[in-house]
Amino acid sequence: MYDRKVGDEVLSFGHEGVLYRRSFIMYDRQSESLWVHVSGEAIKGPRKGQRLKFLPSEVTTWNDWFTRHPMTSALVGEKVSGFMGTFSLRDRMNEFGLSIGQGREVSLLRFTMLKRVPVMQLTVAKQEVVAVFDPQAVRATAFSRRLGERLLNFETVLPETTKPTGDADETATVHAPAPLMGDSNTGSLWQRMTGHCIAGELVGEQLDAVSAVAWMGKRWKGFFPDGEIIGLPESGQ
Amino acid sequence: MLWLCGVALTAALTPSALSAQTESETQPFTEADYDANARQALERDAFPVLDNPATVMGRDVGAQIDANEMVIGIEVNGVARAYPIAVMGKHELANDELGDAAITVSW
Repeated sequence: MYDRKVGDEVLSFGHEGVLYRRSFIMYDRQSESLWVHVSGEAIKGPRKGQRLKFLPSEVTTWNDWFTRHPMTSALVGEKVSGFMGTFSLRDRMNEFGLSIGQGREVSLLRFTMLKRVPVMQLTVAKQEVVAVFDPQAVRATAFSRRLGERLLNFETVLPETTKPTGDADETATVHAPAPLMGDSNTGSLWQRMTGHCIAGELVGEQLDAVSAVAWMGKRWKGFFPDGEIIGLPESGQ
Repeated sequence: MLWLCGVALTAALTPSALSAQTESETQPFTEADYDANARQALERDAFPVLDNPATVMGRDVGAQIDANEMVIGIEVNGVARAYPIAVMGKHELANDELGDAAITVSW
């Protein structure tokens, strides 16, 4: 997703109908320049070389998004059937990965790998990164492991299953807790998907997000033929 | 047990600043490469691009979006909007406004 404002001008885009490296091209109606939507840069025309500002977005379930953004608005409209209409990362997890980094120095971390290792440390473009996964929402994102002068080491923290205290009145209903991770430097506890520290010495601290977007592996390879893919596609789950 | 104490979705969910886009990156796409490899697959605007599409507040969505349906979620300056992928699949591209920001959404 991009900011459509370039300098003082707000552009609007149309669909060029052209396929380039397995992805489509858009044109701006103001100058008819052609833009590669995955990189946000104009490849041809008067605006050639210009770049749109990238805006972070995520792909997740409506329920997950609405829970975290109760004041959200939503697009409604006619839906397509077939692949797009039934699209679910849950069903097609094998085909997707988390593309981390920008420009040429990107890595694709397969969801199948993240499913097994939901808190994974890696280096992308010389940056120490922790990639995280919420198996319930089938959502992945990534943060920098640097917090000020510190380089943090993260690991998965599994929430304890609720143990009844023996008190018969205690309600059995427990909301699924947000997935967590811990750092072994201080033993602090972090919300895995927001990078926010909720307990321990670093409570209140916030990790910086790094550019990370869910991509279909096949499409990604078309754009980044030299990019590193981490994890193997698996036929079963 | 601390982490069971309703931490779920209460703590700050402020989107942290995305790491700045570096301008010095090597450009992987060139016009020559485009001219050699691009192919007109459809007529221009065969996909009906959305311009400032109608939206509803999340609480009024009701049955229009299933709980488990996949959406693209965007938040800009505290203003959030969800774009169901099944709807975007029909249009591929949307020119929209979110708060003060003019954005383009693609699928």
